[in-house]
Amino acid sequence: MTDKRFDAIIVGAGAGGAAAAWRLCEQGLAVLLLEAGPRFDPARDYKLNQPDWERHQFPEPRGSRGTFTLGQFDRLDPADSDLRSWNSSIGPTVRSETRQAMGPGYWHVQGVGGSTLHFVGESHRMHPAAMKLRSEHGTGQDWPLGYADLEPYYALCETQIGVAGPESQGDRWRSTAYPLPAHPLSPSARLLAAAGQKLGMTWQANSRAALSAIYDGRPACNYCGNCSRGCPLGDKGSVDVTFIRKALATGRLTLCPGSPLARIHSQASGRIDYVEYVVGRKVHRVETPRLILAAGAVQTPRLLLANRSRSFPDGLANASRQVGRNFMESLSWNSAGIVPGLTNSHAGLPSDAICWDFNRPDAIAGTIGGCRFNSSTQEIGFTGPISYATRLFDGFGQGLKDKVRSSFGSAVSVGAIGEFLPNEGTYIDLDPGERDRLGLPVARIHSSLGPDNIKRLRFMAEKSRQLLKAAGVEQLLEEFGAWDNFSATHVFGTCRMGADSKTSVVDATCRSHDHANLYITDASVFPSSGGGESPSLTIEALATRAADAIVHGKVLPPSRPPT
Amino acid sequence: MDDLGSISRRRLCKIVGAFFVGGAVNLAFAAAPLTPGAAEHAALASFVDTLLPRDGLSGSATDLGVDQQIWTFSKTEPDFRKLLNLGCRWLNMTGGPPFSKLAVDQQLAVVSWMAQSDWNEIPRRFYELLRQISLELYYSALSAWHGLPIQNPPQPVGYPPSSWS
Repeated sequence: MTDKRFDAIIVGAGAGGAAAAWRLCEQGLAVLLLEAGPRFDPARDYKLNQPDWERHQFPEPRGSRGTFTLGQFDRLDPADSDLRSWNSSIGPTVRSETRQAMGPGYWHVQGVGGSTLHFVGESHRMHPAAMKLRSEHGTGQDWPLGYADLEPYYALCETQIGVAGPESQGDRWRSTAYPLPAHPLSPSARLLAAAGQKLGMTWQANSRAALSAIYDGRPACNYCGNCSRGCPLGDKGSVDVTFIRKALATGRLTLCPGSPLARIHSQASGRIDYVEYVVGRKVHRVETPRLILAAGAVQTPRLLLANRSRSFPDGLANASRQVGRNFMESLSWNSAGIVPGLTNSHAGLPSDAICWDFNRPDAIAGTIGGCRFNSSTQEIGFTGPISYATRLFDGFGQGLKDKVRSSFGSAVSVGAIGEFLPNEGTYIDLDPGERDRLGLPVARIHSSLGPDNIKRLRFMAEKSRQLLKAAGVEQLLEEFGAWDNFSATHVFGTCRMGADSKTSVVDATCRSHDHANLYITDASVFPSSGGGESPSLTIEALATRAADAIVHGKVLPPSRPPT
Repeated sequence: MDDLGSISRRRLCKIVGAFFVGGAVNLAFAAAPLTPGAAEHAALASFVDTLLPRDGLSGSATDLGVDQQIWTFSKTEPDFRKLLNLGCRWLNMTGGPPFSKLAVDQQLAVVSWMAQSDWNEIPRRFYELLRQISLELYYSALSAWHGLPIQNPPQPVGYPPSSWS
């Protein structure tokens, strides 16, 4: 292994690492892809063909989650208790006076495919205006590149994945049509779209990394509604079946699961000359002309901060002191209820319909930063009887059994995700009291919502309630959101990109300002979170663009908007 | 019948953990030996059947082995085992005969009271936790789905649009 020479080493086999690996390999470079977690076997590991599938979330074998700790979260102000999480079955789901982590708090997968293995598979382009928060709205940060610069790479990645989407998405102009037509709307999505129309909201088919027809040797989706538990068919465009499969087919990718990074070594000049990784108990040292970090917005800053040295006392790539700062998490909300007479709401593609009306940074009165709404009935688990019995109803006995039978298939949920504006209380640092099995300090996550984010969250909650009422929900039965739950799936910003090396970590091609042969291709480079866009496609677009910069010293020219 | 495979078991552990951090339930008075006997087994069986009785379409919780799965799970979770034993003892000390010997309407009355009692006391916490776990185990069995519009797991067939569009 260590005798082989590579043109690049990539750390992390999620969206950014996989896309970069594919783009480098297909252009002739030999790549070593190191992944700390395992490689999953869908036939063995995913349980959707078992009667107890509802009790199995995405599998969590040893090593499939990065180590991290959580700092203190906000004290909950009773004045905001309209944003409390609750359900009809057990009442409030957070009974403390401070915000609590839901489950692990930071939901991710460490493994070959990364978090695309458990993502629902939304495939979103950033809103062009969401990349200009500072210059156009005086808050947050601008991206050092625009939508037109990313557009050719969006199109490139959509083609590799087989994204299914609508003909138009308004401000998100396109140079080419989506590779596949949009999916049919599920019963709950159709209901929400009709309800939105009553409120003057425009809903449309969501753009999805799930195949609406046979494509590129992969089967079409069969609409089981459980993408986030792991797709056994391979129609979901997780990167294990798209970019990594294609990179392996070139014969130039060496993929090493179960290989956590132990050390990054930089010469005093700033040149990264080798890394060390561990397999079992054996340490492997491998030299590299280029290193690409793609371990995500929590682990990438941790690796940089933990590899401090005499030459780099604040950690690698950190002359700006911005590594770990500007952390942005998931500002999310969900409201759910029953619509009498609705059937089959458990079936269909999760998050198949979306409303972008409030996605522009200035679309919500009184706060900067947008949001989006989507059908979330299947996404949040109303696909089986356990969720109905344990979340939608209280009580017990024959009455409860009858309610589950009579209501199954009539639950409807609307979800919302919004811009998260960073603040002084949101950052990643190294936990002084915790080390991983390799002896490296672990990441510690700090997050505070602040008044702007809470204001946006309230808009999301109130609009969701209005929508469900218009859809025919007589009584809300469950709500949960970010006010009292720290439950981050989309995380960003801890190595942000920018033109100024004093205030950013990487440039517009994802190259470190401090180390000429170090690149970062994950969501840590996002200067802003966007107004609820799912990040995987943008990560992949940035990663393939960075790969082109590595191979050619230049990137594809910007697209021109259609006239 | 669930085999309490490692992933499902971890999910149950999460449920138990969530209930113990959800407030300061007082388990400190549990100084007595906590090995379940026939009385505790009978109490739990009757309790879960009160939650999920047999009807014309599907069996009761004990018909589907829910109580036995709960005892199996409790062997590896000390806090849960403690709450389970305390709850079963409480069920048998309501002033009359043991819970399993009460008339059905009396059992319903006891469980209804538990469902409304103080969150931080044993009866309520026992009710909520056992309800959650029993429902998970019960609806994990295909035989519990009679009367539902689904009859099979989501895969391998899925739900083709022709069935819902």
